[in-house]
Amino acid sequence: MRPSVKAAVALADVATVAGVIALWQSDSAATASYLSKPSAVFAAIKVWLTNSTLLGYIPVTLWEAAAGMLIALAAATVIASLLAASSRAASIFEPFMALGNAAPRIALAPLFLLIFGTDLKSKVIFVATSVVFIPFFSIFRALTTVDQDLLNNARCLGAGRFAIVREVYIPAVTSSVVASLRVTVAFSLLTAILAEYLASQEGIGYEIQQAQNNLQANYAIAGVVIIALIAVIIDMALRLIERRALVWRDPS
Amino acid sequence: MDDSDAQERGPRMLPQTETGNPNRESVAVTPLLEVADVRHEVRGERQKTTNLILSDVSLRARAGEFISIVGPSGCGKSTLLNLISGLAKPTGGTIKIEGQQVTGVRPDVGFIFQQDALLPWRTAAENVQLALKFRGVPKAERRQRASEWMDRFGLGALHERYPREMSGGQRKRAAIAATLVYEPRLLLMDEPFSALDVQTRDFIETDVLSAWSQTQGQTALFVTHDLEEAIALSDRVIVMSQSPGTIVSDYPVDIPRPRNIMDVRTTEHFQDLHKTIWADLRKQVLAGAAPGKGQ
Amino acid sequence: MTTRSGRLIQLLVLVALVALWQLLVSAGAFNAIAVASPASVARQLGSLLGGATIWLDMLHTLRGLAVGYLAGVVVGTIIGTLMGISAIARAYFSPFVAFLNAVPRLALIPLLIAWLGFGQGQQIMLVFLVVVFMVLLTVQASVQNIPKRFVDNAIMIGASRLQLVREVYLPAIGIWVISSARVAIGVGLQVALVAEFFGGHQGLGYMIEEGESTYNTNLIYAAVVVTAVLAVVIDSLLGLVNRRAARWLP
Repeated sequence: MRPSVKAAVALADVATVAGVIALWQSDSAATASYLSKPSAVFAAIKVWLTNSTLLGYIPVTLWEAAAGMLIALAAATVIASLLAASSRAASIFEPFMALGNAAPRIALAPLFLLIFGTDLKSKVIFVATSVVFIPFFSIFRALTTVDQDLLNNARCLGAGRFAIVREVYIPAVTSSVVASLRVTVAFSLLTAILAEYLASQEGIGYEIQQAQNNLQANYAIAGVVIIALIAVIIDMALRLIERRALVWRDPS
Repeated sequence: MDDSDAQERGPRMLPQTETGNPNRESVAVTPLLEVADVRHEVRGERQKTTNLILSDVSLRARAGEFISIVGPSGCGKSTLLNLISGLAKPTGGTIKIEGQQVTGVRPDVGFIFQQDALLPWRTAAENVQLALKFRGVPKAERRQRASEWMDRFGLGALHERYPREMSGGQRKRAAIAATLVYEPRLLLMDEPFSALDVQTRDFIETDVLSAWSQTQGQTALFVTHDLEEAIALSDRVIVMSQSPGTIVSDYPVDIPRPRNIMDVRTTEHFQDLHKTIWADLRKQVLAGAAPGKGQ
Repeated sequence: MTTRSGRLIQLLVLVALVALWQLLVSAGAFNAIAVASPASVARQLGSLLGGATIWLDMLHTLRGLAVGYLAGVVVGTIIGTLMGISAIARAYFSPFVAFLNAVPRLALIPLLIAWLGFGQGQQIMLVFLVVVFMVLLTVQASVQNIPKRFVDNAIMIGASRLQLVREVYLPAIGIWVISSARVAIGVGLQVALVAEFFGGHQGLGYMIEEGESTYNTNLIYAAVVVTAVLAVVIDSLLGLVNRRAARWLP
């Protein structure tokens, strides 16, 4: 595309965003209602980033998400490996995983937290149990659809059991994890926030809920904006990692 | 005549002997296809470099001729077909069909691609009827015409099959029928049989030759890397050089028609032709392997 | 692939798990308030299904799902096609798509509630925002990945612009809309539920919230069971649609 066209489109993008914000700012009905104004939201964001308590919530949420996700990845690998090893076991238990996946896990958070308590540890476990399904299906599919030619070739070259696991299966697992990483990370972050929203003493989700209770819409929206920014930054970083790690992949 | 001298002098001139379709009426002097001084450049990946694919390509084809084009990989034979078809425009030079400059795709030109382009969501019969549907032919008539062509290629039992349910050879036949159904004046074929096994290939080639010979004045331009196939099918074999491609030689093939595809290869005449043209082709292929490109 | 005996074993395992659950609860192994027994859940389900509320709730959830979902499919198909065909459209929409897609949309619930209030509006908008990107990205990829030879061939055999769209582009896109639609509805149902949970007055999601705030765990589990059954039914219906197309799918 010619650079002039590229510039025009970029301008249109900026104009669209500016237009939406301007519309929102000028909408007097919104100010009266819960939506607040961009200027108030902006002020709230500034407070978020300078107040030490509020700023401290961010690592808490990130920690819950990260820890829960790592446990989920480990569990998913174990379960997927066990099921992939035996097609009998797989055909019996895989539908249960699908059933678990279909259940509205987030809505069951209060129940979960009631049973297991509302401290940090239980939130991490909640994140882990909610997230586990995503990498599970990805890893399971990767393990069960390993190219037969690859396996036969490895055996012909004299690879023993261990070597095959190392050279064929482990790369399959790691690449499937990387491929589903963006979804897994996003879901971990989301689950952590929503769990905090429902029952917590700290974290971004907790603060959003507090703000809503105190009818401080601008702080609630500021919280959402901060989450959005964190999510986008993480997503961009993951895209780079994905591209690097999966550089060998056939684009199909 | 010294071969290398002939090389330097340019393409062999086509002697005015009667080659080609014996059913043909005497043809007009104006060629059906005229390619004059065509050159073609393509932009490189990073948009900063251009690659010259074709350089100074000129050829003429009369109505009713079957011409093969052979050459080293990457010499631009497929690009040449693409330009003649009207799907792309040459960077320089002119291409004329029946005296008119080619400015886009023409309804009297047909193209059979290397991989069949049958629509997966249409049955074989529907695919063969498609060209007629686009031309506004009424349903009953197009069903009947398509059916005739399908019978000619042995697809009579496969009307209701989807491409996924057919073998490679069956799909290729359907693709050919789908193009021949509208009886194009100029038929372009880009390595259409390279994906088929040898036996299937022989059978399909026989059917294609028979269909071509029965279509009044149809000209065929056939690109292949299989020299035997080229000689067996054609009236002329054109040899192209390494990239940037240009036409190096033009050999008449005066084996009489009708030909038996499977038997013709064993005749002495065929073997002689093959030897001569192969020497030329080999020279072109090896010219790319040497560090400095020769003539 | 599950064989007959495999299915039987599945059923046996399911029954065994439920029985174990009942036993443990009866024996007092869990906090009885938090973990209801299968028997009491069944009773709750029975009484609910007899009354009118659960059906109204189901209808409410389905309605929100349907509106958000259809809007998402339509808008996703249109914008996805535009982005696939036109480089300018692609350049214009990409930043918005990339940004919004990177944000977990459920995290936007407080924002949507602030904007559209508590009720079905925020639910529909949330379902829409989730579905639209799933469909958009799939459709865009399908338009860009139509093999060139299909288009070239259609042109060679005489297709006009309109015929090209009708005979090549639409069917090619249609396949992908159908397959992405199937995945999207499962996700859409979950999202519809969560939206009701956080900001609704009615529906299966709200029923879960009600159960949780009144410590009525039977209600919670009953709602979950109904949701799971609903998900299976919807998926089977879409599976039937898929099977018709399966004959010619490569």
